[in-house]
Amino acid sequence: MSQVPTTTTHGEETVSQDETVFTPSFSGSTFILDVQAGFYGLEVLFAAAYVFLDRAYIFFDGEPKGTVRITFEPKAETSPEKMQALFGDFKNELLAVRVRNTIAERNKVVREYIVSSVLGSAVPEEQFGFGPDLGIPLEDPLKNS
Amino acid sequence: MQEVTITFPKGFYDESAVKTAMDAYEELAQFTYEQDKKAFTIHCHHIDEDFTPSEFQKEFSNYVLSVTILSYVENTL
Repeated sequence: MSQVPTTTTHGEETVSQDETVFTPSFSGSTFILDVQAGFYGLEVLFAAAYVFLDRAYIFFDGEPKGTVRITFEPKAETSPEKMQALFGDFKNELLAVRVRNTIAERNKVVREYIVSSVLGSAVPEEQFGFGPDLGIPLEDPLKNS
Repeated sequence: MQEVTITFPKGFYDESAVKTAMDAYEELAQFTYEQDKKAFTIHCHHIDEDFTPSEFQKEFSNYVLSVTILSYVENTL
């Protein structure tokens, strides 16, 4: 059972120190993970699950804005140790996706500025009517075809 | 006749993903589709003999989840 080490704010919801983010349970070849969607967000849970779709059968249930139940069943026969490792990998993937999302959100304005600058500079200045006049008539290259 | 019923809770699973999956698996089973406020329910019957109902359920569910996630990502871009 994992606990959040400190109080953390994500979106409008706050997960305090004594709330549990993960509640895993193992049953045969399946492990069930109850996750607080408020901590990660559905987008992060989906992105992490997508990475594991080739290795496990995954099913979502529960409340999309509350406790999300994720059922994992490895596709290949797996030992308990490998199940624990798979569970650990999934937790790491959740963290990685959340960090990537946080960074992407922080850099969003800069990225949009760079892309719009590049696209803007790619448009020929003649199209705006203030570019240099090279004396070359603009013709439809397909009109003779 | 092999059959299984799969329930996909709304809020996680996308209706179009469920329908896409039914199209993709139409040669392996026959489907009856219904929905209520909380879930999409798919009754799968005449499941191909190469699958057990349990295997079919897991494969079909994974397919629906993958399409749901892809469409979720596409819609949030």
